[in-house]
Amino acid sequence: MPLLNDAMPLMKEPRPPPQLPLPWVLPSLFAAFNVVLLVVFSALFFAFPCRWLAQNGEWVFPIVTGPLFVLTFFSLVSLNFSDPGILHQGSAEQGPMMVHVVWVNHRAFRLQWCPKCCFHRPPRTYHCPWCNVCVEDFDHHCKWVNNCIGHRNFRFFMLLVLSLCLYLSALLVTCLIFLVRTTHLPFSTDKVIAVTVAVPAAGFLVPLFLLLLIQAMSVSAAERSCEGKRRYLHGYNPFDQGCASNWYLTICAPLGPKYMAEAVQLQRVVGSDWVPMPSLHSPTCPFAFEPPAPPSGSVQAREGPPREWR
Amino acid sequence: MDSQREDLSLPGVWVSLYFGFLGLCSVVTGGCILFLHWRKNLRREERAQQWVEVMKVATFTYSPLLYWINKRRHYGMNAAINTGPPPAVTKSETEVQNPDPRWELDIPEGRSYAVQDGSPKAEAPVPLQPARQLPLQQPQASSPLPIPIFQEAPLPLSLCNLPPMLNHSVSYPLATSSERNVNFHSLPTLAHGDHRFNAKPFASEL
Repeated sequence: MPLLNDAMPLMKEPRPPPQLPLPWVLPSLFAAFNVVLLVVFSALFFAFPCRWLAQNGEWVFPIVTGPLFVLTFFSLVSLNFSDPGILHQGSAEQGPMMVHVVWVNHRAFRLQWCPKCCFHRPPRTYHCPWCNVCVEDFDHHCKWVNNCIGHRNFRFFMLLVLSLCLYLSALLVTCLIFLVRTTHLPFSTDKVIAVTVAVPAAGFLVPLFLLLLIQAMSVSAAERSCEGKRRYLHGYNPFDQGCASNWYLTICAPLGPKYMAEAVQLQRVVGSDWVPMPSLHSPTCPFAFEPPAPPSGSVQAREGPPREWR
Repeated sequence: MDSQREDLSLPGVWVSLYFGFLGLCSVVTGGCILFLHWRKNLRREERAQQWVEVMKVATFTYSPLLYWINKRRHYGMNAAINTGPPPAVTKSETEVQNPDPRWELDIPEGRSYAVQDGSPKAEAPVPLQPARQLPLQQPQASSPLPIPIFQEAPLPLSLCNLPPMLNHSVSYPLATSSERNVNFHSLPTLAHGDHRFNAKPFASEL
């Protein structure tokens, strides 16, 4: 009985040992280290080989690499703190015994119960064990930025990979040109810095291009990194709407209101008074301990017009 | 020309000063990123607790499934939901249709026992309307309750070892979490104090 096995840890497991005081520190430290790495290597590049080329009239190098650095830094920082699309339990969850089947383009998905978040996960929604949240359209957890990559920040992830590829390529080419043009000059600090910057840039470039290629193929086929093709029966992916539409939906389509923001908006529309009502359900997860109560009513969607999409 | 290029190198004093300044900037940048990560985690926990309060006092019915379906309809997908207790017919049917029914079912919509969408077979994109009312089937009184319905989907692939799993979620913090000494910084005051939920700050943050 796999379902009961999932629920057992919540019932009989002894009290967990005290958690580490700051479990977020190490992953966040690694993410901060990556940002610092980008800043340091860029500062070395702009202060030595790029400055040397600019002083010799080669202004095209700082003009090209400067905006690429700004774009890369912006996308990296944005991805660190962007919302991946966190979903929470709603107000009318019936418990793990209920069967929810969602149809998407003539294909049915039997929804899975998340024992942590206590709700049925929509298709392609997974619980990230690192962030401890359920993420809509979960792609993967990126340890480089210590954040989940999901529905709302996947375009930032693609922007980061693309800008990193372009920036590292420009940086590598610039350093090589600098080294070629200074071969007749004696060994100097500029050369040391150029080699120091070019070697890691070349090392990161190959896997980044490979990652960009894989992600581009995944977007074209409307697949996610955490899924495999074997999950789709008969090779039919119901989320695949064609290559062009897949790219549009992934990169350009409006994301719509956030899950929580929409609920707040609905509350404003339905009733502006926030007088606490009797609890609809316990804030604990009762379905992990007790048999499910019979459904008390119907699940009803919003009745008003959808909020303006951004 | 060569002598001019040699003169373009920075003096040693400036190089030392530059490296010192760069080290200082690195420490400041790393500290800022670390602080923002700590703030991000803190705000997630606070918002999760506030979300529980929102759902407790909500005067409307809200479901992540309907939020998900509404969004997919905006994207031109034909999405619908079917909710009910575990019927034996459906289980056997799905097992016949799909030998590995852990995630996706291969049920033609014509065989669905209670598809609630108005036009599930329509090939044209569904108009951009919010999902309508979804009737639920009452569970059979004679059927035993603890029937395993499905298996939990395996966790998504991870690049490395998984962190220790907590008995609660940031998405749905337990009220007993403070008794278990879990590391929710915001829960002790919110769960046990005389906290009166105020929606305005929450709404303004969103």
